[in-house]
Amino acid sequence: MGVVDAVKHAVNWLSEPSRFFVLTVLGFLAVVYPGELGPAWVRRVTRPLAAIYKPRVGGIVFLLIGVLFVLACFDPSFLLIVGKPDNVPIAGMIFLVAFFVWFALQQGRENDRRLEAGEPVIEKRESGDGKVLVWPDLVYIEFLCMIFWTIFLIVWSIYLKAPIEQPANPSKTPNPSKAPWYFLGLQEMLVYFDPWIAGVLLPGLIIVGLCAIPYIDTNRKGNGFYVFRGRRLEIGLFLFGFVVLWVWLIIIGTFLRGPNQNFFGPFEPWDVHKLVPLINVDLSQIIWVKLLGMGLPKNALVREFFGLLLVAAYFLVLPPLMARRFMKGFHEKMGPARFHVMVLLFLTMMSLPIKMMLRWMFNLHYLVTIPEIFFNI
Amino acid sequence: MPKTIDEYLRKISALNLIFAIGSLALLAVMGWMVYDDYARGWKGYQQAFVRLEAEKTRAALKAEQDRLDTTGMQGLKEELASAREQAAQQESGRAQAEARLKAINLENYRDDLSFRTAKSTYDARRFDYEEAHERGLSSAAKLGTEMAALDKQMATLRVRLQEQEKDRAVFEAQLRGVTGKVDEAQKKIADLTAGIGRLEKKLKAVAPTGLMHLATELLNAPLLDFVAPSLKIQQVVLNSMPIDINFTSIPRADRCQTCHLAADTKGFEAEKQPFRTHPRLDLFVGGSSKHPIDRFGCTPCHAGRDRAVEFTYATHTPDGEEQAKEWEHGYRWERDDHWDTPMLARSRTEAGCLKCHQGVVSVPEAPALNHGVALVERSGCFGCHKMRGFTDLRRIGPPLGRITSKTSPEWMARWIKNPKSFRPSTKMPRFFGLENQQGPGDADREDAEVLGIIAYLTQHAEKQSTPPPQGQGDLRRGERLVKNVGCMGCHAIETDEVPVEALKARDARTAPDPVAWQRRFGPDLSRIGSKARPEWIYGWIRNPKSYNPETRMPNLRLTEQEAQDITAYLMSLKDNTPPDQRVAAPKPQPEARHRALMIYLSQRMPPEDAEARLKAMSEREQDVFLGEKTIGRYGCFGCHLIPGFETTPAIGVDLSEEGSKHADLLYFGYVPVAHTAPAWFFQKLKEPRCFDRGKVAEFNERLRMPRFDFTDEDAAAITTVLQALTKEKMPLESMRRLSARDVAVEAGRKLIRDYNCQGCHIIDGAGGAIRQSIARNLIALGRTEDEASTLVPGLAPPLLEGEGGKVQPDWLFHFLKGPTPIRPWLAVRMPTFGFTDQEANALVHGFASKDDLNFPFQTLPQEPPRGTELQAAVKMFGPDYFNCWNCHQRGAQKPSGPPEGWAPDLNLAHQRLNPDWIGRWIENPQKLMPGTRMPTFYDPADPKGSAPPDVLGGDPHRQIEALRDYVFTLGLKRTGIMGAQP
Amino acid sequence: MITKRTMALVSPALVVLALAPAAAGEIVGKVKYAGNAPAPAQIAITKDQAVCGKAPHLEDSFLVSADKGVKNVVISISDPKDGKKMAPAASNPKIDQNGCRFVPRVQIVPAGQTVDIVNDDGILHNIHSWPKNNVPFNKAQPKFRKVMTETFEKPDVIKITCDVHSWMQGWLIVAGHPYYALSDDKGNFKIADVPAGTYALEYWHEKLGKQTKQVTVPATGAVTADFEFAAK
Repeated sequence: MGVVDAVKHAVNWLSEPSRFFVLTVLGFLAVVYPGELGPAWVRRVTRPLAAIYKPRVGGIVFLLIGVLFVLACFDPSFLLIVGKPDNVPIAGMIFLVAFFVWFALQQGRENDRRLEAGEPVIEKRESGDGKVLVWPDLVYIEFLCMIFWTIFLIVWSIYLKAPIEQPANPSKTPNPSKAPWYFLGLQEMLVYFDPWIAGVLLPGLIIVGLCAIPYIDTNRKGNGFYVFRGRRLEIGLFLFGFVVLWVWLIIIGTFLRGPNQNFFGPFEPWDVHKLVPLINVDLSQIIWVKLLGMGLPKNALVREFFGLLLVAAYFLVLPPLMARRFMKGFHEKMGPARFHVMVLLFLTMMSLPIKMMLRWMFNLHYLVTIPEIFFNI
Repeated sequence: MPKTIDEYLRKISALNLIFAIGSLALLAVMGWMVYDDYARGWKGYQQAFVRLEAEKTRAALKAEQDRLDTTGMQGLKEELASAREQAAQQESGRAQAEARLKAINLENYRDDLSFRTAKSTYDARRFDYEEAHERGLSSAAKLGTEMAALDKQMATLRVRLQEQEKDRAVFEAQLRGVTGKVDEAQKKIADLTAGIGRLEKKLKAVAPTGLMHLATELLNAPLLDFVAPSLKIQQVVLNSMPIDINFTSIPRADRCQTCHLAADTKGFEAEKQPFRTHPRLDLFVGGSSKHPIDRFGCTPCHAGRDRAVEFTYATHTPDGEEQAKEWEHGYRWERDDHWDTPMLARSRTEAGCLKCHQGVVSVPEAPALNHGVALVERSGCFGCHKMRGFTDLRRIGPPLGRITSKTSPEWMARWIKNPKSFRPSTKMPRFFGLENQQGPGDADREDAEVLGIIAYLTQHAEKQSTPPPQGQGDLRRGERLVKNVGCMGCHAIETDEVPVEALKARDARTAPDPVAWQRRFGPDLSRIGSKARPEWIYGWIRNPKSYNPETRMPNLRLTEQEAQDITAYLMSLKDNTPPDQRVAAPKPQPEARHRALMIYLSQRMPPEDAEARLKAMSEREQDVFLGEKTIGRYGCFGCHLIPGFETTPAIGVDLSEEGSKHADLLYFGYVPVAHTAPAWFFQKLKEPRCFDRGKVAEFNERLRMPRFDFTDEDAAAITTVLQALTKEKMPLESMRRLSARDVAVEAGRKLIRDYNCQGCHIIDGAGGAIRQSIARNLIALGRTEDEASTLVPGLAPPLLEGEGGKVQPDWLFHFLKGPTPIRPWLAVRMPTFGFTDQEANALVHGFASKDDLNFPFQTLPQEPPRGTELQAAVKMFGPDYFNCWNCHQRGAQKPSGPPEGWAPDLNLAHQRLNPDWIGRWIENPQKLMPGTRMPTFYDPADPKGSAPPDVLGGDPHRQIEALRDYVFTLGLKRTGIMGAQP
Repeated sequence: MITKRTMALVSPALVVLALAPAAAGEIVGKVKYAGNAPAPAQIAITKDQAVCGKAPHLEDSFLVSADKGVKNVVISISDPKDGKKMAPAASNPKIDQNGCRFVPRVQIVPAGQTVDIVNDDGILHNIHSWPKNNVPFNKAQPKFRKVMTETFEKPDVIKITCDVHSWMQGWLIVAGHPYYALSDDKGNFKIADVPAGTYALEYWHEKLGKQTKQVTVPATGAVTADFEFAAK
């Protein structure tokens, strides 16, 4: 018993957002790039992870996760959250996303191996000359999927009734009150950014960015079949944005955000009365008051000078730097225009995790805050 | 170039197979879906009920048949047979008659037809004729003749028809003569078997057979059941009692009867739920009751989700843990928090009454609720908590402005620390030494606080110099007075009256209080001698209002001597708990006091200022200051009038809508109770400070509610009241509206409650608590319990049932303002309450209205009886008849025998009693006042037989009138018949 | 007068008796009082001396004979197995008010029995009943009403008083079944043909209260069930 509790406790401790996020990022890198990143010792440590891309090992790993999940369900508070009818799909999503990511990467690596060995890629071998008939080979399969999916949905709808609650009551609002699951990412962003950024700018850029991908990424390697080596960075970047940011946010938004928007470990009962200190400070305060020990200047621009400087540096200094230094190759390959659009999108994307970490670690509220004109970053 | 089959990527046959399997599975799942949608729990219940009803009907049918066999069915059958035989013998006559009738009918039909044809043609012709005639056409004449012809034809036909009618009558009579007996017998049988027929019809309806059965099955089948199923949701829609869903309100649609099918049907009392008949159909649900289901539905009283047709979803609420368990197994029940007004647990259903029954002292037939309300009033909950319906009531505790003249600081200390240790029955709850003040240093601080309170009170107390009683009081006389003069209507001396075990049990809250509720109106006097100063007691009982103008304690018009005697006796009632068992007297705690004051002060000023401020104060001042703070924190002024706190607002949470509070707005802390509001209320009432367990808080931030030591029943009753205080607003037209009469009655009831009249009098079938003590006195004098029970009615204050009808409003008013003895021989006195005119009027009006007496004016008979009437009355008063003076006093002339056998002075009757009441009284006293010692002279069963035969022709009514008028003239100077001695 | 209903009640009882006379024993015994009895006190006549004062009034609520036999003790079986009813009296039993006392002071009547209440004193009495199960009544009986009748439907122990003469008291024991007996001056009693079996025998006395005792009745012959009330 003691052991179990210890484990639960450890898990709760690890799921404190900042730790959890760092773990996720590291885990993500280690799994996507086993033995390919960082200093020699890191590569040495992470190299064995490549094994999970062997179907059998991967299978076992998934099986293991599944078993752990089932075991976890023996914990009442865990089951309570995971078992909520409207959370079930998200619980399912964890596995689906994980599996398909794994599958894509696995296939990609397989093809890489084949290309090296001069063998035809999987897709090729499947379909002889690379073409199959729409009917029956495609449509029939789709049709069958449709049937079985319908069956699945009906059974689901019979077993899990729609979780209908009472008529809205101003004196009894749902706590935590959450957006629909697919918006939880947005809601999460709202915690760290001003509404106009989290609600308007970032979502807008996400869409623009997605539309822009084909024009930015002109690399023709691996069209028509899975591949990894040819486009490691592209895949990595996309997966980071999709899995680590979007999906991850949805997951913590669903399972870890409890009453009063507090964070709770997966094995922690959702106590309405839990309190956490929430004193957020702005950068200006940190610098002018904490460090320089003089009060906040009256003039907004002076007050926010450092913040603005920081933001400017982030968006104006970094790109050229990257172009010259770490991403030289790309810069040349893509040409300045494409490159800078890509970098801008990239930096914007990265601003989210950065801000999150700053909030978690230094309780930083805003880098720049000019309430006079409702402008906060 | 098309591919050939063998080059398909996958094996089509395999895909086909999968397809086949898939589509079959889909079909199956579809079926399942339909079924799942079809098979609802409530349908099961309805089928079960149909079966139940069917077997009940069969049983009834069986019984009916048995009944028939015993009754003269057999005889009737024989009668029928014989009748048939007779008929058979006259066969020929019958056949002939029938043949003739047949012929007549045929003829009649033919003639009738031709008559009608003739008539219609005639009408048509007449029209043509008129037209023609008007226009002066030549055809007019011709038409005229035609009409004449038709007219004649009609006349003949009419005659023939009438003849035929006659003939028919004749032959029918003839026929009846033959077959009449048979028909008669058959009719008798039909009548006898009517009941069976009805039951059979019902059975057919309930449990159809053959084709009908098939039809119902079909109509209830899945997918077809949209047409006209016999299993369908039953609902009552109540537009007059909408449900408030926060942003709008929608009509109620109570679907409870979908499963509770027999709720409004007699004969299912013994069945298991959901098929049980609702209790008290005469009062609830029943069509003729005050709350017919089609007007009040179910949820307005029971609450719960009106539209639900599923056990859990209807928010059934279990009554206690074991029922919860039972339901979890039986109905897969679980708590559904998704409804703002969950159903009331069975034992607390009465909480539903209050939302419609407002402005009444007690809701009829709701004992638990009434008990709860009474408790709230008696415990003074409204002192700290605002509560709807409990506004502008007077503070329940005595004012403390003159406390020093009443008692000593030592006693105050002991009392404040733990009131029940001195007087276990007190209403005053305990504030100190409770579970959330047990930390290090708390004890010292509480000592300091207690001393502080005393310091504050003594500081602000206004010295009242009560003259000490002159001369000595006699203890024995005092005791007799206390126990007989009427004190015991509101007070008790429990150590003297109740066996120790009973008291122990009560203190352990395992048994209810052995002393009657009304006798707890005033404090228990067991240890009064250790509390009050003699001169205070003396002054107090002489005239309570001089010490506390607000007090309910009446003035018993005691003489100085009596007052002294009583004082002497009361002072002799000392507390004999050995000192080591008493509450330790608080010791001065300078440090604790300092710490406490610092905490108070530093909320408003920096520590050093606070220090300075305290330094500037003397010890005494600091005490007073801490006292003020403590009184403010614990809200003592909620119950006591305390100088300096006259207008301080109440400190408690507003409970006016507590019943609508959601569990998650209540703090359960670490107390393991069900997370529901009622459970929380109950727990809070039992252990007010328990939710502080395991919490860290400065002493002045901890829970403050004092401990009342409620029994479980009391706590449950108050919980019911709290649940009744919801924010639900019932539309006026659905609420119980009081008529002018009811309003008057309720106003009276309120005063009766406020002045505890039922401590002495039995009113509305309750009260008369003082009889408890009168009986004890008699037993103490060596009577057996039986004898005591016989004698008590003679010695107790009168019953006030029907008082309104009995006495004249005018008299009652004056009596209330300044009582004059009616039964001078009684030791117990009607005290002077010092009613205001308004109050006295309200009481009189209340009594009058209760007996539907026209108020305030009425005529009294002024014509005294003369001649025979007078002689008769005097005669009947005499010893050979009713011997009235045997018991009744007559002015100065007292009856013989011991006082407990005496009856009121009839000389007062004319100014006191209502004449027609006297009549009804003589006619049947037991009816007006059950248990009265006035004997019944006229046996209600047969008044004539029991009336004196030789008076006024033995006519009871005339006799009673004579008696009445005579009584009414007694004591009247001007009638001049005073001399008419019996 | 015997009503049809009582007839209906009785006839089965008679039948049973006819069928099973063998399996019936009887209970005999003597009721005693342990302490020494108080000497009957003189009752103060506070009213109607003329009539009530004629005979000297002695307290007769608690009479004990020389050999400590207690009078007016009602002995009964608390739970007879058979459904028998006590046979109604041929003629109505009397409660006579004679010299301002109820005569007899204690008497047993079957349920449903109609009782004649007689006033021999020729002054106003009133019969005030204090029943537990029956309907209470309080009827005046002036001189001109010599006889009144009352019917007592349910088994009961009814105290009867007169509010005019507070000392008057009597008792009417309404019996639900035949197995009742009233102890005589010597305290002796006898309950006849009791079905064999074990019963809780109840001894009731207006002053001494109710006591019970187990007895086993033989199929034939008698069982003695003496009883002694503890001294008060």
